[in-house]
Amino acid sequence: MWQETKQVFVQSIERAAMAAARQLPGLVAMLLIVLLFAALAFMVRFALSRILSSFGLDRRFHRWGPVAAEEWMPRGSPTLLFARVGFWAVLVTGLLLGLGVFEPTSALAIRLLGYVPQALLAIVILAVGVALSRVLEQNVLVSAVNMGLQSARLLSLGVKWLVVVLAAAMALEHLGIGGMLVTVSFGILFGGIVLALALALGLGSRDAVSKSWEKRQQQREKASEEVRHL
Amino acid sequence: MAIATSGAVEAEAPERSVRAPVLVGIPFGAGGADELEAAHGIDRELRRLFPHRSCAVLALARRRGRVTAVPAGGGAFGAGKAAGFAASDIGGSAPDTPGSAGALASREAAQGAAPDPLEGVEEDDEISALLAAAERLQAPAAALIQPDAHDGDSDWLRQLLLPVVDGGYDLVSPWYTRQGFDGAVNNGIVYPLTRTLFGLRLRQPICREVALSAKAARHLLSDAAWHEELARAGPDMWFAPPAISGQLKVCQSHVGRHTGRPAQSDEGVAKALARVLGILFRGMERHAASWQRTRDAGALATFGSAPSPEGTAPLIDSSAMVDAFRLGYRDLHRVWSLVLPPATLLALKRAAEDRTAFRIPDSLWARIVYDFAVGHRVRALERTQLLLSMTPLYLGWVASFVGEMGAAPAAQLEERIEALCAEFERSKRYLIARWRWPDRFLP
Repeated sequence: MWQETKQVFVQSIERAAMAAARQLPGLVAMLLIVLLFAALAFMVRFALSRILSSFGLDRRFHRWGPVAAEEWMPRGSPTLLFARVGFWAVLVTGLLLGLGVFEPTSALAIRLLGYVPQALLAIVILAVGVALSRVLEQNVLVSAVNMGLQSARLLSLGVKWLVVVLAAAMALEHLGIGGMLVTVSFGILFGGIVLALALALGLGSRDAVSKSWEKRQQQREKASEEVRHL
Repeated sequence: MAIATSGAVEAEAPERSVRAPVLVGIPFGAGGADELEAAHGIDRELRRLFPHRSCAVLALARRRGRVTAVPAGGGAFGAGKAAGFAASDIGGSAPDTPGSAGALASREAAQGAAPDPLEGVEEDDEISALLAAAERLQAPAAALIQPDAHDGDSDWLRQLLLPVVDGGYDLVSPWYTRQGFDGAVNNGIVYPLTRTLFGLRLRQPICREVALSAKAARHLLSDAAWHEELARAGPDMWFAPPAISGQLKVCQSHVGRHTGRPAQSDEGVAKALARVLGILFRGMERHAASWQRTRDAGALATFGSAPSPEGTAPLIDSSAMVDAFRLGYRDLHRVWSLVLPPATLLALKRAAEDRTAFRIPDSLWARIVYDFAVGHRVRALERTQLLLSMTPLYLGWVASFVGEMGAAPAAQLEERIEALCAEFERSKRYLIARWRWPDRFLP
């Protein structure tokens, strides 16, 4: 009985050792590829930094860019951003290729490889959403202050986070994470906010809002009567 | 003809009749009866002012996005003469039938056999169409006017035209009589900045009316940057930069009260301010090499007589403007910090917290305007938002000015504006340093 049990254990260990031995070349190959691509990634980052710096990208972007670069770029430098994107793009490519030569997990690697475009698109959606939220935040803030709204800051932050949450929900849906749950959750959240605001304005703060508008209108009329700016 | 600085322009009847007509352009909307009546009135006034000179009124009508110049006005509008000049003066063009908008469009149908000298004059805006017509007809002078901006009593048309027609000047800028604190954007920003940058003491440098000589018309027509600016700026024109680049002989004339509707009432203070600032800052960017070399402002020929200010400046409750400034400081100081240096932000913080007497000193205001010009140039943030974010600062300055000058003798207002201009001029070195080294020079 003991002998049979021992034999089964030994055979299992031998199979495991054999399996590990079969993976070893693939593992070594993967490590080599990853190391190679890591070196390549460093070279790409260095090359991009030098080329873009000599082109004066930071200065040009600062001058011609649509929004303040320092707000959403590492150290306010588009050169640094592109260098980092290049570095990680090469490194991730190396990892995926390495996974491809790793035979037992090749099916997983293929699935991951198929998933990469969706993941990249989700990242782009999120990045665009965040950038858009910052621009809208600034625009809403300036407009609200010029309208004399006391809660201008709150309003601009609300707009910012609404856009960020919307972008995050779109990215998650694109990745297939959460399924309908994300969509329904966002719908409930957004609908709830709108309903709450409508109720607050329609019932609770009706008089206050009305008085505030009247006061603003009176102030505006009074100012327009007294100073003609142009 | 005799011209005296700060005096009336005296016309002497010229002995000879000049064939090429003096052109007066009027922007036409739908070509309704009131516009045609205004054109007739201008025509009658022209014939009274210049009986020995050929003159023509042109309707600058927009059709399908393009502005064309069409003879208009005058009692002889439909009977062989257009707007007070003989058809032969412009090559035989016969006028349209008056009284309808369609009349302007049917010029070709009403023409005789002679070719229309204004055929093909089509531009993007009114001033360009007038200049093109002036060049086509080799007009010695051309003026763009807004008849509804004047009351009937003043001698404004004569004051505007005569320095160009008989005085040898290239560009006449109108100087409207304003009451109290009216024209605050002009007093606080446009006038001091124009004077400091280009050395021109043009009291109201951004305008919708102007009189130009043939030389000025040629220069403006050839200035591509100016036309590009016109497309962005709309009807308001800043003639100081092209006047300097074209070495034009500039003067200004008192033209009475401006009775037109202010643009601010249509678009609000913030948008109006942003529009005017955009004109100034883009002009500064285009002509940076020129204004950095300009020294002190010299005297500028001024015609007509300004009514002497009487009484006291009005007492205005500026609390709403102070509140707007304080709200702006509370919520926008992070945006301002992208443009203004720390010392300026600290001074603004003190002003916002001062509950006794709200004041923005002239030196601080001059630096704020200069810093925003630099911020606009380097695109510290999106340009429209940058200009809009200056509104609370501007309202703060107006509140400070009004609080300081309220109930003061009206004559002192002009002296106070002169003091502000002097401060802008003293701070010009700061502007030049910041303009040249926007990142390095932060006091």
